[in-house]
Amino acid sequence: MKPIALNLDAYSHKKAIVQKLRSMGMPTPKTEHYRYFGIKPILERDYTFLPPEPGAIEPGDHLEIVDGRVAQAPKGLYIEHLPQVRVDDSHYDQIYYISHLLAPATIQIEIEEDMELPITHKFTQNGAFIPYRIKFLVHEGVKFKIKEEMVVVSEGSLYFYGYDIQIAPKGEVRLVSNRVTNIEDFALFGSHSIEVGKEATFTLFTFDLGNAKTIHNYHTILHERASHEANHVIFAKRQARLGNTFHIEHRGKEATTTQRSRNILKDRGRGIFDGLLIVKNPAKFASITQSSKTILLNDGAYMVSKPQMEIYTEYITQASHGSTTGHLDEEALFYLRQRGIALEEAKEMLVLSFLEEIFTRLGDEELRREFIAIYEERQ
Amino acid sequence: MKKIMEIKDLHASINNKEILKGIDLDLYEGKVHAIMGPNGAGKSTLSKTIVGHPDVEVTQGEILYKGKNIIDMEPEERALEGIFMAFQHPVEIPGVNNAYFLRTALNAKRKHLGLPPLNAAEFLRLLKAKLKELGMKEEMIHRSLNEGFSGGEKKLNEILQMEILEPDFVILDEIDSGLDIDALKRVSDAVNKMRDGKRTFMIITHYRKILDYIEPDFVHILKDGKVLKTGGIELVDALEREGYKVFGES
Amino acid sequence: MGMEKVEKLINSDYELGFEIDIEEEKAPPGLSEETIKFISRKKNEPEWMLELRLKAFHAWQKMEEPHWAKVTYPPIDYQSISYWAAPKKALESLDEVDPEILRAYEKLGIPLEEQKALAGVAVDAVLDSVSVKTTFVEELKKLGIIFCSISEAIRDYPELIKKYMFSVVPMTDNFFAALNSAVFSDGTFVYVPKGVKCPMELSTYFRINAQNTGQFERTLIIADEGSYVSYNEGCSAPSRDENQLHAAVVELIAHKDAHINYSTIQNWYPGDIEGRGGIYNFVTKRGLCEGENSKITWTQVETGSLITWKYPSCILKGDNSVGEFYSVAITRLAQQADTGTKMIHIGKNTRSLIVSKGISAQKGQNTYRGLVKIHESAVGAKNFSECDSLLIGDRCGAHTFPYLESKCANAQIEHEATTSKISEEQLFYLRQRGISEEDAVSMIVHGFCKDVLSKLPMEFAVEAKALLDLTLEGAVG
Repeated sequence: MKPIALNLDAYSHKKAIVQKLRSMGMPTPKTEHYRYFGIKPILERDYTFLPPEPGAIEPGDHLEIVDGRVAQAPKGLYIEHLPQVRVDDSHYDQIYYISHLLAPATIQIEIEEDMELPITHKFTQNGAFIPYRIKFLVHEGVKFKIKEEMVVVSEGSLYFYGYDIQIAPKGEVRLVSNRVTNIEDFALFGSHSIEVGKEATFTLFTFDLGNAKTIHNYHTILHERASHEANHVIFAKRQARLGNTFHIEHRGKEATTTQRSRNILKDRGRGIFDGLLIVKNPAKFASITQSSKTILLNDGAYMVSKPQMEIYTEYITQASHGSTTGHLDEEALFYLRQRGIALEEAKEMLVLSFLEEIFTRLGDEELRREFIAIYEERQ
Repeated sequence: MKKIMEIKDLHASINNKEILKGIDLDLYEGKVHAIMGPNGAGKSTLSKTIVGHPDVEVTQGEILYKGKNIIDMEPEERALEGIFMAFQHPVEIPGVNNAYFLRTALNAKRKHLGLPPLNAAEFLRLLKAKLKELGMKEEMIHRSLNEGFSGGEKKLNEILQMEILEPDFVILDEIDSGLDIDALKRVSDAVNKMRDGKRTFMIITHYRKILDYIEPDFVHILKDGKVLKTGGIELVDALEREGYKVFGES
Repeated sequence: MGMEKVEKLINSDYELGFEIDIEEEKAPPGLSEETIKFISRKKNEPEWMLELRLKAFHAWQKMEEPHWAKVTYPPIDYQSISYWAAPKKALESLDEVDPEILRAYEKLGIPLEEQKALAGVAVDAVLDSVSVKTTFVEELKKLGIIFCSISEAIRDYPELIKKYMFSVVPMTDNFFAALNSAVFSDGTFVYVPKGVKCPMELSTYFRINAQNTGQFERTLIIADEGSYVSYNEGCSAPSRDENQLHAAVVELIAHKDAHINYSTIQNWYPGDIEGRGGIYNFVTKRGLCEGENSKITWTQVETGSLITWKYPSCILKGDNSVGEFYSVAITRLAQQADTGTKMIHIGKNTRSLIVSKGISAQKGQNTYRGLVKIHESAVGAKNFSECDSLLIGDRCGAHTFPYLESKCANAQIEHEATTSKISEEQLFYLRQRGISEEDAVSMIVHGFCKDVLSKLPMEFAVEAKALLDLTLEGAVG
């Protein structure tokens, strides 16, 4: 099956989604958030379509999803498979709707009390096209931490996945995504919708490392006094294209968004940071800041940075964004080498110092070490 | 003694919260009035009300200035009538040249008085003379209004504006906050020089120090949005010794 | 600030909103090969030019109107527009200019006669589509500078036209550029020879007049090695009810060590608070820094038009070449502006600087859209962008869409943006010093725009400041 040749008529039971898709059309290279990703060859390729059907779930210490099917879950986690769920009706990404359309069921999990949930996504099928969706309903005042990891052994495949997260008032969700995708011929589209309720908090950390082609599209809606912090690290090398795009919408007043993106690009690696912050008219006294910083380790590495703002009210507390793209500080490099540190080591030191702010905010030593290990391995 | 300002039963609110709860106060021409009081007494609100700050809503009472009620006057009209406030925190306005701003303000005043405007050269002469008197650097006139000024420079800039605009009624809103002793002395000297028996000063302060340099004719103690006590410098001494409780509850 | 005052001031009429009543010769509405042949014939063009126009027309027919900009407007019916209008007779000297036109210019504050002459400004005034008058040409000629209308240049300097026209903005570059290439009516041509520094500011005033007539100006400026030229373009249009289309093309070429300064004041009719009658302005402006150490500076003050779609750009091809973009864009009423720049770094050590100041009031929507692209070859390239937005009122919008692309490790891009409102504290501070609210707003806005206004040629800056005040008068209280 070629994803581009999707036959919408076959999905008449999901009328609303079909309608939405008809009005949006299929994504093309001209679609704003895919402009720099090279979507065409990926969608025009022929794959074996393998929609995941729910099966038996083994008990374990984490949630394991293999090719879109829940294989393992901690005891006591209440998992439902729903053929139809309410979807975000204002997502900007077509693939959000396509994945909802094609996934036979959404994996829905209600989080009623504070918990930490490690999730492992395994991608094992070759030449496959697999769509799946996960939905979390986080109850009022509940603290929920997700730590996501990826294991890719699949080649020539295309996966669509994504989270729908609804955070009730005063809930707190922290999502740490460690996305190592080291197979070159592998494409992953993540399309997420997060609704952050009144006075709720959503904290996001993403680490994209690898040689594959992955893009994650986040539609985040903030209600009154909600707060959102997003930190992104991209390390792309070889032919990798790694991107994150966002529409962060302030719908209620006094909400806060802080976004940081740090990108390191090597070889012909390409990084995409495309973040749009929208402050609607009733969302007075918003505070938004965006910063994107990039280091290109060699010529030919390619960074596209689009820190964007749309503001419809003069009553804003703060709105600023900044973006820089450059190379490693030659002076600093020389200083380190003069002290006897080898060039490569000095470079690594500087790259890590460049990421320090994000690691400090993460406050997770284990993940930092993991990242460094992966980073070193990838050199 | 001639009254320049009479405040009668003044009630005022900020964000619907009543802060001034019936202020009665007479201010006399040519005199220095010190206003003291604990935090939240309404000192700053009183000064904001006199200059017509948009945050303040007057719910009752009146302020008679030179015999006229000014409650409904625009802030710039009050300014042109001679009311000047040295702000506690002067704002920074990027890109607006200090000298240009001041000439605009002065010429607005001169127009109000029926005088011809000063041209750039005449104004510069005046400005330079004043800068020298105040011991301020000349380069500051080319800078943007208050932008990148140190705390002391900002306060001196307020005094400079006062000297140039020659107001009749001056409010010094915590002019002493954040000033070192040397700067405080320069500010006080400038104020004392402006005391000419006609000009009235209202000094809002927390501390006694500035009153050692600028001797007040009257001291008013504010508390809970009312004038608790009016007297002379002896009130400050009592305050120093025993705090506000010495005046008891009214 | 006081809303009543705002509403009161909103209703102040567009000061330049009046119509000149002169007899027009007009092509019937519609666009076809016949129309293009008619235009070309009217202008006595050589055959090769007609062929180029037709080529552009055929390309345009296959193109689609772009809709990626953050502007919305009802569909344009290209067949209902008239593509040609000219005053009936060609004029030799100022004396022959219809006194009514001269009066209109005066009303616009454009003294075509002595004042400008005394000020040392040569004026090539374009009324509707045909050049009415060129002055100072003789004086410039002595230096070898060619300053004439595009039509004349096509007749008199075909080699230069063939070499440079479409070389920076290809005729098929975009939908509106293709349309312009097919039907351009007139415009300005400037050639500054090697080593010559043009001793005066060159100015053109545009004016849209004929009802229902599209305006398709075309400007071409070539600065040969080591030369310098400063060119000012200013616009104003009369009030009317039908939306008018303007699709101009400007091409600049700077050779080795040459510097072109291009300044614009754009004050076309913005329409009323509902947007009725405003001008649609879809402009393609691009400069090529062809040679080493060349420099192109774009400065613009945009206060008019209902819809603005405009990205004066620099292609920095020559090593060490420099591109600069300074912009003030004000949108009020129902105006929508999507404007910015593109800086394409190709040569080594190329530098670009972007300073954009957007001001939105009433229902105005102001978008900065800018592209900074650094190619692998642009070793040592540097860009700095600063985009600041100021919001006045609660129905307007400010949007910032920078596209920053870098493929060169030894290059630097820096982008900073802020959005703010005029603070009550600033306003109050100035009012406490006796400055009226309106003057206080004007002072703050001028301060906000200072970095850009200071880049305009002196005389132009005075006009821009006056225009800014005029614009703000209607927009804030």
